[in-house]
Amino acid sequence: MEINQKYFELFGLKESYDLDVHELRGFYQELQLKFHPDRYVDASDAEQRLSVQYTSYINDAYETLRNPLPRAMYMLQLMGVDFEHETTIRDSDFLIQQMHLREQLEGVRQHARPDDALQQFLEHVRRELRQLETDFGDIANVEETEEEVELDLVEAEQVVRKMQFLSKLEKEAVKLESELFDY
Amino acid sequence: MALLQIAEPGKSQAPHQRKLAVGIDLGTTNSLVATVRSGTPEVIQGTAGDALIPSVVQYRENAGPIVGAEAKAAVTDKPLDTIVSVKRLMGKGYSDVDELAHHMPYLFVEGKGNVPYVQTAAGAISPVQVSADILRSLSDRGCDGVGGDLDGVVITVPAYFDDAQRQATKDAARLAGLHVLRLLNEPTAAAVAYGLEHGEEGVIAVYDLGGGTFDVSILQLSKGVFQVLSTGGDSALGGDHFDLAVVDWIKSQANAVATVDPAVQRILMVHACAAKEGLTENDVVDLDIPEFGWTGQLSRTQFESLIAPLLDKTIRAVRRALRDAQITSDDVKDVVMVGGSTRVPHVRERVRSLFNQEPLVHLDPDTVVALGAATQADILVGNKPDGEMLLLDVIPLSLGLETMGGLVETIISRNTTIPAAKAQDFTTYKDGQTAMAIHVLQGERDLVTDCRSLGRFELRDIPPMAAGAAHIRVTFQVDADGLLSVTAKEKSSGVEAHVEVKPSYGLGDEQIVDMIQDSYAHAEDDKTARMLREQQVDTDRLLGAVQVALDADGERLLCQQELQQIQEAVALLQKIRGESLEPSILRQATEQLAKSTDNFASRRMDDGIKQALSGHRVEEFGGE
Repeated sequence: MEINQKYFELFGLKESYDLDVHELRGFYQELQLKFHPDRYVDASDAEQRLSVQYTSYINDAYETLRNPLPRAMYMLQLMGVDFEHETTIRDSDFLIQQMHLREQLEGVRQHARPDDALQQFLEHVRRELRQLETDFGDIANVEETEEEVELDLVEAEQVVRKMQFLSKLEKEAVKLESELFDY
Repeated sequence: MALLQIAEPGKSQAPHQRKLAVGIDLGTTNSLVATVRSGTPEVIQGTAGDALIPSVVQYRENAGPIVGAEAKAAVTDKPLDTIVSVKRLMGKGYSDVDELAHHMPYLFVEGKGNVPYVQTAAGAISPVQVSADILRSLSDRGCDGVGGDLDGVVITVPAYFDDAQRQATKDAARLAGLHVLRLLNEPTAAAVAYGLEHGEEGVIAVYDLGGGTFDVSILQLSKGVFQVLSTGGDSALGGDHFDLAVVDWIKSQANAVATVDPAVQRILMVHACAAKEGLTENDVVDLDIPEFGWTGQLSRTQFESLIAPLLDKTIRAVRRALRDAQITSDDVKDVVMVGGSTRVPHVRERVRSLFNQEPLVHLDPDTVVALGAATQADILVGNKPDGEMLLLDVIPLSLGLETMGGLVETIISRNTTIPAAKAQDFTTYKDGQTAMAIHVLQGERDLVTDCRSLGRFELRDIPPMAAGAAHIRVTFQVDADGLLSVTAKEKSSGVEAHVEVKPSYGLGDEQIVDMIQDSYAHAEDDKTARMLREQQVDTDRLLGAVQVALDADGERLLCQQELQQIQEAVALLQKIRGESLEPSILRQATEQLAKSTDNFASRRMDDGIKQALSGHRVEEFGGE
């Protein structure tokens, strides 16, 4: 079986970066209530197998749309952007800022109060991420004419690349948090 | 909203027959079985009015095994033949028993599939067999309690059980002849019992500290949907370890050596457990162990300092689970305490201070898991067709593959909602390469040596091509029981590569079948009779499913010719079902019907998706 329903269509949503996560969850749970293997315990093996495949797909779709970065990447992939392919970020200010952030994260261990330093760092990174999400939304949700699409895609991809950078930093900071505070 | 189903005139449904199902809590120390009666889950008691069956089995020479209280009484008498806490050995390899030997004074021998067998008076016994014996005893009690053969069971497992431990549990159920509707995570079962009783909405945390395992799950409850956000724990941490800490303390007080005779070790464990229980009510308890030539006192403060390192581990796991759920302890509305070990006052204190709220302890920590399992069993078996309850669980540990340099590449991350599927593409390293070895691992660490090996797969029959030209897609599929299966396909040629599974710790399918047959080896008739009965159950399930499908969608989704073909296949199978006493003939005929309805099944599912999409949400599109 090939399931190739677009994620947005699967949940009956219009293709838009701005989505109501609570609404998404409601639709997601509705689909799960219908297709979850728990509903097919008495069904034939074929139906059970299909139910497992469908709900796997529904889960994947939900996780992708629920989270801002995967959602942005998914939308661009639908428009033909290939993230396997390396692209450089052209914004030199951003790259310099990234270097500073990285140094800051490396300095947390030596900080007099690593707890506070790390919290501040995380807050900063998350604020930047929220800003990029807004930027992406502004680009992605504009009603485009054919000519503008090309331009927007390049710009949108740049924003996503930046989000990837920051998201990676956030993950490293969270990892350091567990390491420092032992959980 | 679900549509009401109306039968076609003249084809009214047979009166709804209530099916018999039970929930089984297969615990490290104690097990129990529960069922739903008149809409309420209750524990099925033994003839003596006992709810708990000790998870203890005694093996004897030339006689059947003894399970439960009677076996427990023999623990100090026959320490080598009496298996306690077998749950610890489930899914473990022979090489793991060194770690466990300290508290498991058995004679281990290496058995099939690298499994540690225990040498007893009845011969070498695998952990799966021991569990199957406990399950048989529980199922007998269940049958007596519900008054008939069971249509299905739900068995609970620790949320933190890995794939090998889950598979071993399912194997045990199969060996015991049980139809497993679902393996259900223990904290999720507890959440069901708790949530339904209180009509709860919001985020709850379940802290489940049993005899040998610790789990924590964070769940979001809304309108009958129980969605697990994250889970964590330690599948080797529980009340037994508290006892062991006390035993070690007694030994150090008595200036004794760490290793003592198995019988003495058992006696010390019994005293330690009694002391632990005594300290729930008292500030200090007396210990008098003549067999060890030692008397003394243990204070609650001393006990608390002995178990503190163990509780630290649980607190760390809770904090990790909160982080993985992307919430803080303030977001948690209720903390539900489950498992006998949460009776220890210090456990409650630690949980209280972490969450800054009073944990809920009014549910009986021993029975709540079985009650939740019974509720789920009742729903799964189909006794509540309009029930809107749904459990969405996660996998506890990441699944990955070995890559170059002994590193692990994660394919499915921990806390991914199940069922889950992920595919990864690989290619060949050399020209003309026709086979590929894949090593599947579970765990969070970067190095292969730090993760649990689940199995090795060999892909063969890859068409010979230049290095890098083959395009092999490996798909990981985790089902609703949390069990992994792997398939592989060469994409450019479309050749389905042959996958051979070798579980690292556990029995292959063939070995399980052998064991099932061995248990009937002395009676050929009995064996055939059982195989026939199992096949008949399978056949009936398919016939029932096809009939339901035909009634609902047959005329809508099939053309006249297709409908007729299926109806003929059904009639043929019904005829064989009525006449044949040969399991293999019935199996073939059943497979034939299954095959001829595969297409219909997938059409129905596709149609279901279409209906789900078009049935509502008009305003969402229309409003734009």
